[in-house]
Amino acid sequence: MKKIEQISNIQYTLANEFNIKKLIGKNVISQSGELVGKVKNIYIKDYRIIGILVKKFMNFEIFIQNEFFDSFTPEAIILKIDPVTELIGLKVFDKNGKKLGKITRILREGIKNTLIAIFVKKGIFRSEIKISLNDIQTISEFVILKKEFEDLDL
Amino acid sequence: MMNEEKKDDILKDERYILSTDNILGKDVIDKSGQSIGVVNQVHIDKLDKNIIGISIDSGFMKPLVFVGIDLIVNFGVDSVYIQQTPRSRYIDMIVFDNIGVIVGKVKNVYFKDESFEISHIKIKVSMLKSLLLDVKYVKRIGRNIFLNISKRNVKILLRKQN
Repeated sequence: MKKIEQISNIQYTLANEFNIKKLIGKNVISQSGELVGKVKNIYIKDYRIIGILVKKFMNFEIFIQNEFFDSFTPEAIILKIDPVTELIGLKVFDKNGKKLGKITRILREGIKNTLIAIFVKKGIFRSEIKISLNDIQTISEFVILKKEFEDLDL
Repeated sequence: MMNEEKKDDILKDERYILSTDNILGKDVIDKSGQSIGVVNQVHIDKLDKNIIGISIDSGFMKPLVFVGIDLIVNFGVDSVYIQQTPRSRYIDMIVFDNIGVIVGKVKNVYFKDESFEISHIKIKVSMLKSLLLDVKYVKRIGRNIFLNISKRNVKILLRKQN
């Protein structure tokens, strides 16, 4: 083991301290236990961690602010949210089990994790429909609406 | 008499009549919006001539799950809604400890008598070892399971159990 000289006013046992370098590449897990991605970068401002960059696919990365961390350990970061960006691609069914299509994009409050509406499309040639959060019953692996498709205010 | 007439009207109305084609292969969704699988079979009582339930295919190498007609909320156009989350939904969920370290996978879940409330979960910790864990150690169940104890404590409980 390498000898480390310390220049500090406090004596630290560095082996026991949290080395953020080890966090790179570790899993980021959402509140519901879904793997969001892997830590690509950690952002620091005024000597404090302000957030992390999560790598999902080749060209898709999400920045998640530290406010949304439930636990932050060298093993993984658990979020206290399910990122709304994860909703894209989910199937949407109405109250009666009729499939309306898949979520193509979402509308949220600025850059917050607060969902306002989802946009659903069934097939390439159909037009997109906007469904507001008030009409949504459940969001999980599927999105289930409170109303029948015919009763939606489109 | 009035009721009989109403029933006849309903039977004439095609919206209320389903064929197995309308049910088989459809997504089965529980009340929390989680996917349970697709309808594989429809079971009919030979004597009563009534549907008694459906079998759900939850995926490759997983056994079929029977759901009784009482637990089916709605036969929709494109999906079937069921009231409760069957045991099979929890099997193979990843179990994380309180800091996000993987502890193992769910091998089985046990419900409290005559309810769908979980009392214990059996976690496959390694190839040969499984731990039966009280639900009080479970912090959250979503797509996977979070415990409120560390992996180290899980190992201690495992040692005690053996």
